Amino acid sequence: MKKSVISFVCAMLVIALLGFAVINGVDFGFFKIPSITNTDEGVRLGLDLVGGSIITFEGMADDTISAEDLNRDMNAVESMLRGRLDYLQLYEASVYRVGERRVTVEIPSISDPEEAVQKLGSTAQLEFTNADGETVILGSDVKQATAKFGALDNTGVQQNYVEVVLNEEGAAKFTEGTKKAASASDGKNYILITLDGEEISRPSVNAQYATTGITGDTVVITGGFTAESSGWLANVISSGQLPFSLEQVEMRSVGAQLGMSALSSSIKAGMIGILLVMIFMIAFYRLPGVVSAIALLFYCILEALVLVIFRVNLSLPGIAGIVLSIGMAVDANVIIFERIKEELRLGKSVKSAIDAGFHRAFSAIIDSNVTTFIAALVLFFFGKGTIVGFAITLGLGIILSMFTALTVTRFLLNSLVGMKISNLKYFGAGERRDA
Amino acid sequence: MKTFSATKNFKYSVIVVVVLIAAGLFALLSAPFGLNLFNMDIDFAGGTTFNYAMGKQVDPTMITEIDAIVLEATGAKASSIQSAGDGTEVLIKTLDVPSDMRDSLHAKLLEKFTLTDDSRLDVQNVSPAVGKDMQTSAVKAALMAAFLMLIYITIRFDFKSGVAAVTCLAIDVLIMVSAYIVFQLPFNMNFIAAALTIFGYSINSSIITFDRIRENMHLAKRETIDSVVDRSVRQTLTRNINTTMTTLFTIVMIIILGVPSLRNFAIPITVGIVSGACSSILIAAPLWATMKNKEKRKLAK
Repeated sequence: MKKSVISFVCAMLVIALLGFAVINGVDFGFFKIPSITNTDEGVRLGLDLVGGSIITFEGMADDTISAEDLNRDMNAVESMLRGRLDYLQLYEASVYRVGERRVTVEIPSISDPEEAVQKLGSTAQLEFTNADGETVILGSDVKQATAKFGALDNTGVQQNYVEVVLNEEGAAKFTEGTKKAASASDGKNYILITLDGEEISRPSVNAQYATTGITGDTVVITGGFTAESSGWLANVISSGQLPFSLEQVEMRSVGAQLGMSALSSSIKAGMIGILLVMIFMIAFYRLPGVVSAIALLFYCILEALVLVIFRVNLSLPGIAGIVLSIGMAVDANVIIFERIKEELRLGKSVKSAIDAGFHRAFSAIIDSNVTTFIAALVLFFFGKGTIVGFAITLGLGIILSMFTALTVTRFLLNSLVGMKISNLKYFGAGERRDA
Repeated sequence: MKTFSATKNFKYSVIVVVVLIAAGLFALLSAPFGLNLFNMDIDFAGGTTFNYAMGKQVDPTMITEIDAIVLEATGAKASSIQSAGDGTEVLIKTLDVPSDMRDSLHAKLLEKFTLTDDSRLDVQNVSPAVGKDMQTSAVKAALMAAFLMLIYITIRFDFKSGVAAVTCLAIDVLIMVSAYIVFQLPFNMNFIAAALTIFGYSINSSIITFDRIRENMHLAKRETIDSVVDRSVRQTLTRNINTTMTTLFTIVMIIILGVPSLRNFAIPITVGIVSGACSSILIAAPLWATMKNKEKRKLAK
């Protein structure tokens, strides 16, 4: 009797302590459990909850490209996208390859997703051509590009511009190109500067350069820049053009507002769901119902612990998975308790009825959990996008709930029985009848 | 109290099932012939959706105005424009349009309805190629799950119970498809997730029932098969109903309180859970009894 009371109290203490730990967060120095509300160190909220964009680009490489070359180029694309994100100060963003020729960029809390799509996806092919469309120099001829601000002529008007330093070969080509442009007829004596086919500016070349061409390795690009746009241009020219153009093939962008309301309403749904399940279980199964309610609470705490310790990325469907698994978590208890009731009606003692209940319900519980777990597993490997989050939380929920339903409930129920609480009334099996 | 007999009422159960799966079955069978009855979401078909908070009730005039803006910005008419959420949101569905057109649509909407950047609740764009990939992985997932489930059931059950349980799964998923058709739920990756969940979950009731039938068959040698099955169904009825109830408590709360995208996910799961419990009791058990009786008659001959 005494032993049972102690073990029951101990179990409750453990549950309470774990609950406290996961709600408030604890730091043991060597090991830290972040609070469930701490999204910086604990559970990660998916972009569909905090708002943000997930953009997938496809590399428009030739079909003839070898797998090796494609891989090399896609790696280059990946690192260049990283560079561009850093330049845009989107340090929280992540970039990863998907399949052979796709790369996905995830950017949290971004207000203008279309700008991100266009900037990240630009090939950044810089081209100087003459009026006849002949290439003078390309981005690959550039050694370095810098954004500057200052006066470029004696008018003293200060402006933003990009200073481009050409390599030796580029400088020679530029001299040759300007010589040709300078000697062209009026209206055709210019150099067209384009980025990804869009005109930036078309400075004309003075006739005085017709014999010599413009020498030197430094070229200045103007074109009504702001500090921001000249900086971006210098950056993309410096880091070079992408090996092939990128096409945005998928974009999912969620505003922070929608994400927040999705999160709070799902948490509310989960809370009310838990409460309803607990009330139902207690109303129907009395004492074992109370035990299953405690086990359910413990299950929620365990789930939260796993989420924060393993830093699970929680998506909106992921929350649906958790809420659904709460409802499924007590299924095993229902099966066991019904069995216990039956055994009690057959006249068995409470202790042996509980043992028999757990023993005989075991195979049915394993079977039903395995099949649901198979479904979660398949979804995890074959699912796409946020639905994978559903597979994770559903699978996790099945494993954890099986543990709490089989071991925790049994332990608590046995210690209660040890306390001599064995009136059949408490088991909701007062009336004996044949089924 | 008159006791219910699952075996005696089997033929009525079958009639009800046929009615319920008719819409889904017809839609699935007619799909390869180009008749699409589904509300195809951009996940599978490709396209773009825009969701804006308009700050006031969306009315037909507003929809006409948006329609004109979409045509101007993207060069094509919207596939659909409808109010969403509490009626102050608008959901615009268009073809797969590139970033600059989406940008221009955004700018035009902001100007016309004096909105801010925050009014853009979400934008989703899927190219037809990605949609195709999604379809492929969806089909792969469904086939894989069905295959694994069949293996597991074959190992754990005898052949007849396996056939009965899998028949029920097929019925459950077809009823879910019917729900998609009748309620015109957006048909997307969520369907696969919902269907697989039901695949895994709704077999539980069948397992519980068959477990009991197996146990009772050992004990009762002289009883008829029908009577053993009916008794087993009655004995497991409470737990089948209760396990279903507890799961419904939580999933229905999502339907009541959740955001639209989750609601569209929770509705088919709810349909599947209810159908799963009913089909296990009303179809799986009596179907098994029918097969077993046939076998017995054969042996007797």
